[in-house]
Order: sequence, then structure tokens, then C-alpha cells
Amino acid sequence: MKKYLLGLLAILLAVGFSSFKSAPKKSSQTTYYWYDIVNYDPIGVEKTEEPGVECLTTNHGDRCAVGFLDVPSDPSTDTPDVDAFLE
Amino acid sequence: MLHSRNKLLIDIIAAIFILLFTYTAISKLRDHTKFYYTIRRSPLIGDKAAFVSWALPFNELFVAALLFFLSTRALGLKISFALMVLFTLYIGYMLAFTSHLPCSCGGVISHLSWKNHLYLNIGLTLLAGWGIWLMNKTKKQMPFQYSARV
Repeated sequence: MKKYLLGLLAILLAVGFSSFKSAPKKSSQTTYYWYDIVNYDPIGVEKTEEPGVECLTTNHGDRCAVGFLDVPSDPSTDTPDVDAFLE
Repeated sequence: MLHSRNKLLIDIIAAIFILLFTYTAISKLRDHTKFYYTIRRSPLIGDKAAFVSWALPFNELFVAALLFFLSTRALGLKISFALMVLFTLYIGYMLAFTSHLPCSCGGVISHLSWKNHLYLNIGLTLLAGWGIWLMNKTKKQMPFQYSARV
């Protein structure tokens, strides 16, 4: 048992360290949502902070991305900034 | 004396890699969706993101298990060395040829800059290499005793 002591300690430390996860920092003025996109062109907005079922159950990640600003530069459109996505 | 010191060093090196691989694997699995989408943005392995996002953390856990048991520690150190060489080459390639650098590493390591990550990986590669060298040296010096333990 003694010869496994260091290994056990390493596992305990790894589990312990990974248990501490700081909450993601969010700007109070910025909200991020999942967007449905085709060829970098946003075609719709899922008003959720989690990926939609379609993003998770199907393998078309090209159509789903997170991190866009909720409010587009052009307020007359419903779509977010493509530039923000490309970053 | 020298033999037991080498054995202790091998134990410490193995423990460092157990800690590293277990920690990063758990971090990747806990935040798997984010990890998957980060890999997707990688120009090198983006098209294999679905496979890599699961295979990599489980592979890391497997190597940690190999390092934990004395009978498989030598193999674990060799695979650790190979993995670290692979990670270092990947980061080197990304730094040299890619302007877009998505970091898909787990836990606090993802907060490192790419250059610091490269230095860390080079250090860990050398550490794994040193571990293999120590193990071979110890085996040669005390083949009978060492095989009885390892």
C-alpha cells in the first residue's frame, strides 16, 4: 500500500483541484446565447444559455455556436454580428 | 542508496503525470461541450472533434492508470512521453502556422498563454524522458530487485 501512496495522493489532488471550478465571469451588459448558423450566416437565435437539443444530438456543429452578443450592431435585424462570431 | 533515490524520483515523476492527466481529463469531461466546440475550431483536428473530445480524456485516464500500477509504470511513462511529444508538436505547429489559436486544454492550464503552454509541455516532455531514463538505469543496475518490485 505504501508504494502506491504517491499515486493515491496525486489522484486525490487531481479530483480535489478539478472540483473547484470558478463561475464564468460575465459582463452585466453582455448576454451570450446559442445561435443557429449556416456558413457563418446566423439564421436564428435560440434564447438559451445552453446549446439546443439539435446542437447536441446531431453532428452539425457548423450550424451551432455560442458567444454572440445578444444585441446586434444593427438594431433593425434579429441576427447577431457575424464579426463577433468570427472572433 | 542511489537505487532507492532513483526509485523515489520515478515515483514522484509518475505521481506528477498521474496528477496532470487525471486533472486535465476530469476537467475536459466535466465541461465536455465547451471542449468539443473548442476542438472544432482547431484547423488541425477540427473535423475529428467528436472523436478526439472523448478519446483524449479517456486516453489520459488510461495512461494515469498505467502510471499508478508499478507493473505498468514503465509503459505508462513511455506513453506519457509520446503524448507530451505529440502535444508539444501540436502547440508548436499551431504557434508557427496558425493565427487563430483556440485552447482546448483542461482546467487551469487553459489559462496559460500558448507560449507558456509550449514551455510547460517541453518541460513535461523532458520530465517523462528523464523518468524513462531513470527507470532503464535502475533496471540495469539492480535488475533482480527492480523486477521484483516493478
